Amino acid sequence: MAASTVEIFNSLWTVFVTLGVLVGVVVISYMAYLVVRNRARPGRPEPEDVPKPGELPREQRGAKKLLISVILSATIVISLILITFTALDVLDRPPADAFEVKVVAFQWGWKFYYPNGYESTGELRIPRGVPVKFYVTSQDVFHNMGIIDLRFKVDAIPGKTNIGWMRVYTTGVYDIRCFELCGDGHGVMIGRLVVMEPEEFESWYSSLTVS
Amino acid sequence: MGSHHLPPTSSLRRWLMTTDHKDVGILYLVTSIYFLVVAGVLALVFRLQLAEPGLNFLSPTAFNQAITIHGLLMILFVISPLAFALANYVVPLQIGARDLAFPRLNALSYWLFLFGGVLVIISFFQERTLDVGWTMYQPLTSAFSPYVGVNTGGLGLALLTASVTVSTVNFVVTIFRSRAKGLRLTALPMFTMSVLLTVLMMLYAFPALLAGIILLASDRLLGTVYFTSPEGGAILWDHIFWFFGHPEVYIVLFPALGVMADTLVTFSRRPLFGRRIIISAMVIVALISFLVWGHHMFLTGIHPDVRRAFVVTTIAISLPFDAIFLSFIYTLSKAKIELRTPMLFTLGSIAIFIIGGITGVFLGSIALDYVLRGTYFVVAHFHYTMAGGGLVGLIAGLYYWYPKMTGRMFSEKLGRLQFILTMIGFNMLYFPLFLAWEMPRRVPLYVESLIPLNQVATIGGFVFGASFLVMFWNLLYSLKYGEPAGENPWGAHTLEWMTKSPPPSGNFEGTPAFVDGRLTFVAANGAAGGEMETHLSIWPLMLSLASFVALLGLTTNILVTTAGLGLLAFSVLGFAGERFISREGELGERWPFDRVDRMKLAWWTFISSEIVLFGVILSAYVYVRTASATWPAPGTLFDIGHGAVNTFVLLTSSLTVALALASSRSGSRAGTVGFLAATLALGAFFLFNKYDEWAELFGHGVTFSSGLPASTFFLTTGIHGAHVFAGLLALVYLLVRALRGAYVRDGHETLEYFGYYWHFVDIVWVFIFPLFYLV
Amino acid sequence: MRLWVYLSVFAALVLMTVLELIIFGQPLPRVVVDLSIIGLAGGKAVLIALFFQHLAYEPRSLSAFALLGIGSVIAFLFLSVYSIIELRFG
Repeated sequence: MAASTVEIFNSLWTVFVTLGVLVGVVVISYMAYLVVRNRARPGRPEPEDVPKPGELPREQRGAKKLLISVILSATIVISLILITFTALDVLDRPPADAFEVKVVAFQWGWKFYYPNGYESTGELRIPRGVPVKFYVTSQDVFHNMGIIDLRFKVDAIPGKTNIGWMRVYTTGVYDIRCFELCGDGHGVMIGRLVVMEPEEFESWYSSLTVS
Repeated sequence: MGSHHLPPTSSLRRWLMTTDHKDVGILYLVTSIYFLVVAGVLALVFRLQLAEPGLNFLSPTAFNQAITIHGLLMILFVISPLAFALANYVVPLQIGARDLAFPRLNALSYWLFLFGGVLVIISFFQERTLDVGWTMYQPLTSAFSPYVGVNTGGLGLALLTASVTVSTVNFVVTIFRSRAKGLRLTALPMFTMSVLLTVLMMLYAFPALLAGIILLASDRLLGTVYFTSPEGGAILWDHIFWFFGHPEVYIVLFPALGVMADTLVTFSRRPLFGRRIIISAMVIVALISFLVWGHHMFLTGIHPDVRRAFVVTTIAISLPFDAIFLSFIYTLSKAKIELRTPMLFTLGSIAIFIIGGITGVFLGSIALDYVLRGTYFVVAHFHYTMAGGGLVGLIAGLYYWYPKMTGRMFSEKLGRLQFILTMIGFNMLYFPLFLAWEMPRRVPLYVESLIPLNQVATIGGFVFGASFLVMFWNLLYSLKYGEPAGENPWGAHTLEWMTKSPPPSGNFEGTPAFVDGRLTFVAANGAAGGEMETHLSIWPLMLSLASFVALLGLTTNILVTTAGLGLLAFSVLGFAGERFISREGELGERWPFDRVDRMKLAWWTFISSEIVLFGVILSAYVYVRTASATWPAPGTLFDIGHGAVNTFVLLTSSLTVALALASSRSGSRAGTVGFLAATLALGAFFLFNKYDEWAELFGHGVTFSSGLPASTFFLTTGIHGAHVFAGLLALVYLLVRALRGAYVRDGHETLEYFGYYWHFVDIVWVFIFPLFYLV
Repeated sequence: MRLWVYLSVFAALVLMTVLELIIFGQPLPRVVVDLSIIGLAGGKAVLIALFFQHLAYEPRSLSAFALLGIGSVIAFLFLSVYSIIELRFG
């Protein structure tokens, strides 16, 4: 069973959060440790190399220490990018057998066009477990179609069609929201995505009468 | 008109006319704090609204206006100006200069900034102001927000870019040309170093914003179709805006880095760790900052190669930051850390920025950005960097230099109280936003499970706000009742502490110089035959006021604009005719511009910003042509004859300007006058021919809004024509003075400087002609 | 500055412009025509900057400002146009 697009994001997210928290805690704790240990206390002598008034700046040497730290962080960051590109290879390549839906955003709502010619406003139904490919555009201003619970987003730009795809295994109802400020109604530009069991979807889809 | 002695600080006249960098610094400080209060209160208003989902007391447009102006003011009118308040006050002191290179231009920058902000505030009262987000995405702003206030706000930004350009030129020339003897460029105090890199980024970033605003204003006011057509539209704006917008992030941050570095040295009693590495890292960041903007556009469907390139640059830029912040931390080893208020804020700011930096790597990961884009994760991230790294870092600077500015110490107790409130408030406000990362930005309506996080954030917002009240009280109270500070209360080593607090007019007694790395003061040798320096001028204020009136008229009544332009002409003459003396120290370090005088350096700095302005406008043209499926063949829409004639005319005028300069150098008055007059005639003919061409096009029904080929032609040649027109006005002035005998015996440099401008305008045409007529 | 430098640069500028117009009328592939014309324009700009604006006689450091500006514009032009190449709107 191919991984869901939600899982692809979630596993990447977990790696980033874990490493991010780890690095953050280590670095900030180290700084706090230095501050506490080296704070001025009665009897603590001035360092020998204290910059004296009117002196031109000098520097503490220690290229090795810094080099090691930067190489370490470079290693972390570069490996993060490599796993990112791996995920990107999947996310940027919609499967050829996907169910295709056209989405047109407008101020302030969503219109959906199914392959059989059926169109609806505000609610989109898709089958569970099947890759779904979205062709997203806008008829007026810059919107962004986001289904955050399903870790999905595509920019909706007038005159241009952008492509996104998802594969989800959980049925349910999810909010489709706009993630780019688009005017007065931006905050209430909410649609519904209904993910159905494939059989249920099939019977609904084939019952549609297309005008 | 100009006067030599500054009136006392209690006199209003002083504050309206001062050109002293320390006064201008104080003006910047007070004004940026005013805008901080406005933008901060707006934030509290929408945070209150966000304590519960839905709109309870704000209308949707009120909510959108509040978030837009909050962002716009904070970034452009609060943090950067606060940094420049400190830079104005401190940079000349740190390099041992008497003032900035161009004191009157410095005052001009301030007044332009103030009136730009006033325009933004006025726009609130014109039905509605900008409500499109500070990023002003298209085509929402160009075609779907037809409110007068949006125009006014945009023009306020245009005035700000003028202010920024002027002060950029000023700081570049000052830092390169006014350093004390022995103060090599690499030995600059870190704050001055960071300001230098900041203004260099501003020099190339802000013209892009100006270009964007010009195109946008032209779409809104004249009906061109740059952003209303899909071929330009959303993505063209994204490119232009973020080409400015991403360097702007570092522009906001860099001065704070300088503050951190200087305070770390002073309060840890140790030299900076890896100083040269930090400087190199900052230079690298400044360069790469112009190559990362595309990471704001990962989801717009731009070419995959370009997306990947931007991932690489974005990740690459995080590495120099690692080097900078690790060096900051390593500075603390074996130190004797004095936890005074400025140091507390520095340490707090570093800790906060580290969180902002780490979360930035998340957003650089394109696959995560696909989902995080437009969410509270982004909001939290940029507040941790810009508000935490930038603003909180600058507060450290404000406390650090307060004793220098006022001669008084602030209350350490209240300073610590503010620090505690800031750290609690800041993290309560912004950390929950990371946790609420599934929430869309700029929406009042959200799912109920996020209520607790939002309420914590709102409370945090008020705590953060209250921390500023403590600071205001502390700074005001200590102004009168603080302990006298003395020259160097922190035992710091840099030059600004080696003079009285506050420093006298002229900053130092004697001229500071570093001999064998040690500071000495050379007795002022009779002020070099000295005419007294001037410190007062009304013209910076008048010029800015006139520009303000002219722009305000554009959105209210065109008669007001006419009056404004009249006042502007009067002020320009007043400014040009005023005898204003500001001396450059005779001895000093000027590498690498020893052989370049300050006016020449200033002109070339300015022309570099013009290169970017026209470069972006011409790039926009190439862009929309590439994006368009069809484009009229060369020669079919625009008459090659008109274009070719104008090319020869302008090339000839370049020759006559060069010959005018040559004549003035060889002492020929007739030649100078004759060639200037010839240039004037050629320039006037160019504009006449241009008018003829435009009239013909209009006669055939080709107007601003007749599609992109027409829009780009009118806009590009129009902006170029405006430059020619400005050049003609200057020529009239030069000609009148030449007729009275000027430029022949001395002052022929003026013609050289004019030539720089005129030839530049010629060069622009050299590209416009083939691009629009032949290719 | 010697007069003949100004005059010969001017002559070169005029010649190059005439050349642009001549190339424009030639039955060559469009790419060749366009690139030669733009190349000539670039050459004219360099001549003006070096000899009318006297950059040829100034320290290199002064040209650095303009070169950085040109560099950033080229980066902007290249990346923004590349980003939509293969895409046609409308």
